[in-house]
Amino acid sequence: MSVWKKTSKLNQKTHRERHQPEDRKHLGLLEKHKDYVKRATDYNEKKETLRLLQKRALNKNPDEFYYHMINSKIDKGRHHERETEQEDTPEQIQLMRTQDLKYINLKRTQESKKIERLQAQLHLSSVNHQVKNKHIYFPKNHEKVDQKNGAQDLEFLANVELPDVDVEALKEVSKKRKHMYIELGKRVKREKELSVIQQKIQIKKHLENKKNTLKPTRVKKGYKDSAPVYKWKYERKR
Amino acid sequence: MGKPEDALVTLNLVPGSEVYGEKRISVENDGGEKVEYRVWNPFRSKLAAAILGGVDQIHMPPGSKVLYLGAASGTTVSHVSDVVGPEGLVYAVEFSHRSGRDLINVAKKRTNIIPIIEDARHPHKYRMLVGIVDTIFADVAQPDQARIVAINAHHFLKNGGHFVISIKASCIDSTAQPEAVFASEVKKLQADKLKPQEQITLEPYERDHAVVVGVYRPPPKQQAQ
Ligand SMILES: C[S@@+](CC[C@H](N)C(=O)[O-])C[C@H]1O[C@@H](n2cnc3c(N)ncnc32)[C@H](O)[C@@H]1O
Repeated sequence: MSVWKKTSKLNQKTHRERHQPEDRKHLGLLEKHKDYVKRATDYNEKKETLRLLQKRALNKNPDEFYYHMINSKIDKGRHHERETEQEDTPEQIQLMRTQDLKYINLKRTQESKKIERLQAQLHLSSVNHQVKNKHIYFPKNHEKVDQKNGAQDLEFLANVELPDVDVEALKEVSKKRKHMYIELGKRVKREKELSVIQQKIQIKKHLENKKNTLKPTRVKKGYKDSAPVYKWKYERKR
Repeated sequence: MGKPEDALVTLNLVPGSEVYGEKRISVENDGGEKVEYRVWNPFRSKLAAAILGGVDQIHMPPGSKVLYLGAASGTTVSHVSDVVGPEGLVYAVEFSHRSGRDLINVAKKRTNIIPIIEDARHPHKYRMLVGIVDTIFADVAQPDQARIVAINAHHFLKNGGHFVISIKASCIDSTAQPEAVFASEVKKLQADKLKPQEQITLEPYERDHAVVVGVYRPPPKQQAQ
């Protein structure tokens, strides 16, 4: 805009668009020019897309092969992508897109520290966990000593007088403990999830490294709960 | 006040002090006296894991003498010292000087621990320090652990004394199945007059670990003497 035009407009009165008059209020808000422009461009864009799609559909060669042919299907008149096993969960994708490795590492160490602190006081002794240990007794030749000891312990436990316990307090405490176990479970799960994300980001970073002269080969496909495995050719360092 | 812990504890031999940052719990007993317990974390100690796993016997009653091979910084040793009590003794052998320093510091406060900074493969080097013991505990994490236990048993273990050893499968053979490794270790022990009585794996606290408990039976010739 020329300087003259600018300065001449300085003292000009700005005209505001009128709003809906009182007697036409039942017709709703009056559209302003700014809104009209938005609506119009949107409309035209959609029209143009439809036109383009129609044109492409008309120009389509039915004998031509293209990969989307086998990667998609039409079901009840609607076009669907064929589902493939996704390597990453949506949360993983989101975290990998928005966060960097340092942040993930930080979160993971925080999580493992908290797990350690919880595990120090929760020893799984009152929990029915799924991982069972194996306890084997070796055949004894001529000793019965140990068994007797065990029996004595049982006898002792049967006769010992238990101290009075405050049932209310016990209830309260077991509720608290249950919550702590739930928290521990969640944290363990989250730590695992973070470690998978960490590995995936790390692999991606290594793959993008410009110094790779020989392309690494994929040994194992990645899954939702494990990162892919790649193998780099040995490169001699000078 | 109720505390929500679900934990294995030992009666603190030295009330008011901790060894490696573990939690302490003090309670009042019937007489109104305060007693203090220390939390024994099975995720950090194989012996605690075995106890919580349900092993029948660890053969360390109050007043007993224990030879502990592979004491590291003395975390588990401190709990064993709690268990055997003021009348008992723990000879703690560790060959790494760095861990040994921590171990000595632990022993300063706990008079029933005798720290020995030596290689457990050469028991004659510390035979002047160690008397006859009731039980040998070993957690040296070495491939020749069975032999180490055997020579120490020949030197120090009383007839009919017991041994408790922790086996980390990957330390002995990282390619074989853990079960096979445990079985071969048990065989090695049997060949050395160490008769295994029970074996327990340490899930869910450790993966591919086992603790074997047994009794020492020297050859009958010696028994006849
Ligand atoms: C797995 S750590 C023991 C941890 C300890 N029992 C605990 O639970 O706190 C094994 C230790 O054995 C020690 N060690 C390995 N070989 C040894 C040997 N030949 N003599 C003495 N100590 C040994 C190592 O230095 C290491 O500190």
